[in-house]
Amino acid sequence: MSKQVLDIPVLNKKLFAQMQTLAQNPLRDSSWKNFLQSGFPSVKHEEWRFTPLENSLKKIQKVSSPDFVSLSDDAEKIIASLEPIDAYRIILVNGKPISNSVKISDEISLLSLKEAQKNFPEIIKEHFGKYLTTEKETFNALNTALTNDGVFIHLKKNSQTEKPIHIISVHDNREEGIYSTSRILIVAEEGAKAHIVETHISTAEKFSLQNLGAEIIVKPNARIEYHLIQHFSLLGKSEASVIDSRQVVLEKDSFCNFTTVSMSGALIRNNLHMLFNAQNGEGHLYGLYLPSKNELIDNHSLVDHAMPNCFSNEFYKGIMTENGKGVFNGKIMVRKDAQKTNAYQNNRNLLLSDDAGLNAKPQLEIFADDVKCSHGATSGQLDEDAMFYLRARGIGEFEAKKLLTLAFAEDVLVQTKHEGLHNQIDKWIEEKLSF
Amino acid sequence: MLEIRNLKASVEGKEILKGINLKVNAGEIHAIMGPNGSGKSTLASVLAGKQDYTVTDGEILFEGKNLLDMKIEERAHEGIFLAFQYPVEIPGVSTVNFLKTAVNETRKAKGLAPIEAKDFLATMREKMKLVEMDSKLTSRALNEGFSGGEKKRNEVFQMAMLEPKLAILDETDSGLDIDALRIVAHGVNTLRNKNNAFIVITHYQRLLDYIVPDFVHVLSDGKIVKSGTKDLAFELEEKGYDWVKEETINS
Ligand SMILES: Nc1ncnc2c1ncn2[C@@H]1O[C@H](COP(=O)(O)OP(=O)(O)OP(=O)(O)O)[C@@H](O)[C@H]1O
Ligand SMILES: [Mg+2]
Repeated sequence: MSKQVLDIPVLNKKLFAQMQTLAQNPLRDSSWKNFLQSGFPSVKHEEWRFTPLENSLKKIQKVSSPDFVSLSDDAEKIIASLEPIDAYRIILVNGKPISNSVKISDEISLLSLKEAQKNFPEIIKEHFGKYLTTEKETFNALNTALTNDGVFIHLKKNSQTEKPIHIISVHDNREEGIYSTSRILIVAEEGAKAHIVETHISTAEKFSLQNLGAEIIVKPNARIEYHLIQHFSLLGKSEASVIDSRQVVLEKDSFCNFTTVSMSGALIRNNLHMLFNAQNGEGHLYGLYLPSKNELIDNHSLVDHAMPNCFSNEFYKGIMTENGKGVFNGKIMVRKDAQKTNAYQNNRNLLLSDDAGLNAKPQLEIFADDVKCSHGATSGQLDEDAMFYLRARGIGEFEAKKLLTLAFAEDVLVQTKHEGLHNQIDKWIEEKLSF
Repeated sequence: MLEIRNLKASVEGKEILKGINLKVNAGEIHAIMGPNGSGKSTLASVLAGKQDYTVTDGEILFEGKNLLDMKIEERAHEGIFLAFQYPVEIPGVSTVNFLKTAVNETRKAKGLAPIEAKDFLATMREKMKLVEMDSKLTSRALNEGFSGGEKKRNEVFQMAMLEPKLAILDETDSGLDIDALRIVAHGVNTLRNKNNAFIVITHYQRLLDYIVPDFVHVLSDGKIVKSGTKDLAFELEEKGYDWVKEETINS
């Protein structure tokens, strides 16, 4: 374990002591203790080798204040245009919902975590902090130690949403160096079904860092479609950054399709963990990342097969332009009891510039003997024969590259299963590509 | 329309085209035949602008303009079309979207506004009918999983959509069943007029029953070793290429 490389003055004992945190003791104290013990990882830490944090952490000047100030007209306009437009929406600014609750139905609750602590104390007590381990995980520890609000979604047994639920997370970076904490807890009870979209944007160009922790519990027979979209430069080049740590827990016969689309951000680190906690679970992890100028997007996933007869499929694609850096680190763990596991992983990358970079590391750790697992990683340029074919039909070099790049992204984007969202992302990719 | 003068081209230092001379006028159909590996597809690729080949000597004039100075897409805008011997599969790009882009990029190059959606659809319907192309194919990704014959038919369909001045058909007949062959030939004959021209590369005289050429050339070892009328194709069918080769050596 690495020593603390940086002392961030604003993240101090006094702050911790003041916080009305969601975590109760002993979790509260142990989280803070774990944070102090682990400290921030340097590039010497195996899991952070390609993702240097030092320069980012140095820029932190202030912890986001809990009071919401209104957003600019531009930001409001962008928010209004985000797909899916027809959805149950909850808006967060720097991790904190601007409304306490959004009415959906008697069976489905969408509210702030603070409010949920009053209305659903048992569920919070049962699940909050149970899956995001704080030991040796600095950002989880810090998140749990400081979280005082966030989003809570509860789906009662066999309930279903008519429209998607859309969490819109605005990172207000009009002031330099804001650090914010955000937290999400989703509990889908037996047989419940939902489509959840979570979109992150920022409001200005300055540096900010959000530490986001999410726990998503999918009970027996429940089905969750989840789309996480990160696009911090939507309003212009932004230095907003995020460290996103998520734990998806799949119970018996449950299903989750988790798609992550990382469009832009100075530093994005996604720690997506999917745990198969019972038999017959099915999990899909799709990802698309497009780091461009001065951006680093790091997807660290862990698919943890702890129980037999589960199926997982992971498919991530990266499109690197300018000096953008991509990192893919996908670990599949098949534990001793997890016989008859099917686990697949594939990572494909397109390097559209000589300065772009990619580090891909697939890892398989298999302790059961009767399993089917495969993994593969490729990286390359656009296919020359395809380029020639398109250009020979009169399609200019730029358009041809655009067509092929969108085509490359397509098999991840079909996973959005929502036409408006799909088209919006296509449009964003077109806007982002500059050859 | 097209004039190739003493064209020499090589790939990875190996000379493939060793001094080709060919003149094609508007309204003409030229057939090029010749043994495997003689350089037919290389010639077609050089005409279309493929960068793998280095032109070491000679020139190509297309309507008086120097073709070798033009980018791949510019040649297409000028009216050159290559129906590929091996059309590329492009997953994720829908055939319709591809064609619309191709049509509009060509229009843009000519200073025209993008085609109206309904006009595009109408033209597409008309041309699909011409080559009896199934709409199931056009709704799929470009050539992805198409059978050999379907790919070839798709090439002719694209040709019909783009209405080139000079179309080079590189073994468009191979892999086609007899009905498809007739349909493809019908497409070519319908598109044919006094302002455009075709270069048809083939191994089989049979195609030339349907697309009747004005000239037949034999390409062997990077050179046109014999030219004649359509009767030459019959002779080749009967006697094989050795006959031409011997004749060249003897002369
Ligand atoms: N990119 C390349 N790299 C190396 N050799 C090449 C390349 N392209 C063509 N050649 C060689 O050039 C020669 C001519 O090839 P070409 O494809 O033009 O022949 P062809 O006349 O079209 O043959 P076929 O009738 O089999 O289609 C062959 O020997 C081929 O191997
Ligand atoms: Mg050939």
